[in-house]
Amino acid sequence: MKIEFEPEIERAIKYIEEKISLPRWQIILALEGSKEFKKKIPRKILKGAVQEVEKDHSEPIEMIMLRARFGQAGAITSRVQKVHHRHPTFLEKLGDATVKPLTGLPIAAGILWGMFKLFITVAGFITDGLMVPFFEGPYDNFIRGSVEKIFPHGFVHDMLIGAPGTGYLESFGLLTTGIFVPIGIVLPAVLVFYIILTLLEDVGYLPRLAVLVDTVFHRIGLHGYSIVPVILSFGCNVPGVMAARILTTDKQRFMMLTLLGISIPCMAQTAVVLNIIGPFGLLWVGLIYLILMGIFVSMGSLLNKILKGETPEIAIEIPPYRLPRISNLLMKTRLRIEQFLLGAIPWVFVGIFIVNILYSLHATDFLSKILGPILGRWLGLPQEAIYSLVVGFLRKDVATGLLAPLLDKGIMDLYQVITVVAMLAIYFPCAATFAVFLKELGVKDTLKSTALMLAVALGVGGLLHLIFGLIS
Amino acid sequence: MRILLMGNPNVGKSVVFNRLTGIKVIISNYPGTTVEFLEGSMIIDNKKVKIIDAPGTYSLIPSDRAEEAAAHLLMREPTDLVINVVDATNLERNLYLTLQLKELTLPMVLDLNMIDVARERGIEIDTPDLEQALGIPVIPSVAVSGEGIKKLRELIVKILRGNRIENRV
Repeated sequence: MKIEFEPEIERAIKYIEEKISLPRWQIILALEGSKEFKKKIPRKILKGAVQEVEKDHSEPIEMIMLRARFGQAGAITSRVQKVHHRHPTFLEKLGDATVKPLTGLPIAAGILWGMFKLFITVAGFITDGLMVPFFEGPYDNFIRGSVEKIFPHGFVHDMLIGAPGTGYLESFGLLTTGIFVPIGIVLPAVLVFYIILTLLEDVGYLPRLAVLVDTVFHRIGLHGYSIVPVILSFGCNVPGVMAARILTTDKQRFMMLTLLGISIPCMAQTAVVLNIIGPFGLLWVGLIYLILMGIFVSMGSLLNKILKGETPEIAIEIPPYRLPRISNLLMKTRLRIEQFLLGAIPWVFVGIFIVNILYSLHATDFLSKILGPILGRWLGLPQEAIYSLVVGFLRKDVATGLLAPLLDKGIMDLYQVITVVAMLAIYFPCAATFAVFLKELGVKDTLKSTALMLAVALGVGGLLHLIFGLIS
Repeated sequence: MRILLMGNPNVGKSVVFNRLTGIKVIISNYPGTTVEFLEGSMIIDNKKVKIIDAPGTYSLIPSDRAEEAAAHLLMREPTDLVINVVDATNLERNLYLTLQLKELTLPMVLDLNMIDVARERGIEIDTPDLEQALGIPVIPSVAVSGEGIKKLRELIVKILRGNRIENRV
């Protein structure tokens, strides 16, 4: 069955068909507003065709076509579909309650708080209760024994299991820290985070959260739906950046990516931060997040004012609540864990390899000559912090891990560590994320975005140094 | 041979893709989960048939990058069959894209997905009548549980075989 438009539109289509040879579907898409197919029709012919239709309806042809199409869809629907009345179900009532601000905001706060508690408890238990005993016990005996038999000391020994007498996080050997950080610390956090995220995703909560935060995001030129890339980025910036494709304009995408790069630390970094700073109290960890969120909002409104371009409204669809399926939960978690292991471990190894090379070359002497003034005077950091900032270009978890021995040995105090942790989150995305930036933004905008990140990192680092100097 | 899965966001295209190809993909309950296309294959008569899961789109006139990708997939390369996955609980809105797709006069199948939810909500759809109105085969399905997928696969095989014979003539 051929679906016909009303006579005026059909006449317009015919008018074009007679003048140039173009398939009917391309003509129709051109009339519906497709830039690509509009180009195929000489402007004069297109104008001649639509003139009469537009005059008749007194609105642009795209709108007329839209109405015509929905007319067709509506006609078919009312012909084939019957809707019986029925009362709203529990899930539907719950659905309404979670988007209305009065009930929705407390529910959102409750859900997010509950999820956070669950995350801290379970991930903490896996790392401290299972992973640490395993790595410090049987794993250590086996690895240390095997390596020391073949390489009793020297560069290879240190490269594989670190300098003698150092703990798992501090040793910076490929087989000690290189395995312990991704598997022992980061993996439990990633695993628990993704299970929680999957539940929220599959139930259908994220779009509702988007509605609740819409007003706030619009103030900084973004759309409530940006909460989806933000939440995904807390897991890993790579899928977060990809999800930003739902934003419609170049301005919004540039802003979103830059903000993600600047102020959303990934789970790999969070896990190590919790491990190092957690023992001093969760409030300190909270402070880092508070700083980053503050930057998110202020940078957002600043960029929104400076950058040219539109920030249009997007209509989003709120799916119904659905009960999550265990099979999908398992499949998705497995997929994400696989992606994490394949994506993370090679970079962790590269990072640790570079640290060892830098150590053995005594690179601090050289690097601190160049970076010394900025590092010391502006940021108030010891030259040992250089390693961390260099490796941070590759991986945030390894870079953050490098701070642990400095804190232990008293080379850096807690304030300085917090400054570096915040700067690590801000100044550059990790290597994997940088690659996705290039793909999504192109070289020019990626460089612009990166320059912004570096500038903000230096600004924030200096400011923190100033503030911490005043209070300590 | 190339099959393209097209449809509005969050109607279950990726679930259908997973059911047809066995490839594990990220599936969530929100629009915009798939922003890049996914490619897989199924074997028909010992031949590999490419199946592509396009990002969700409301219209062939794209308004964001994901929709652009979907429109490109449809128009850049020859397609032997379009499987238009439709949310049975939002028929009217979904049919907008269906009607646009139909203009392209490619072989096409309508997968009327989430038919269970539609039934629960008291929505009754006359499938034979819908087939007649659109002039294409319609298969009701519940992709998450696998209902209707066997029929869909049989239909795909039938259409692609017919297609091949036509090509030879």
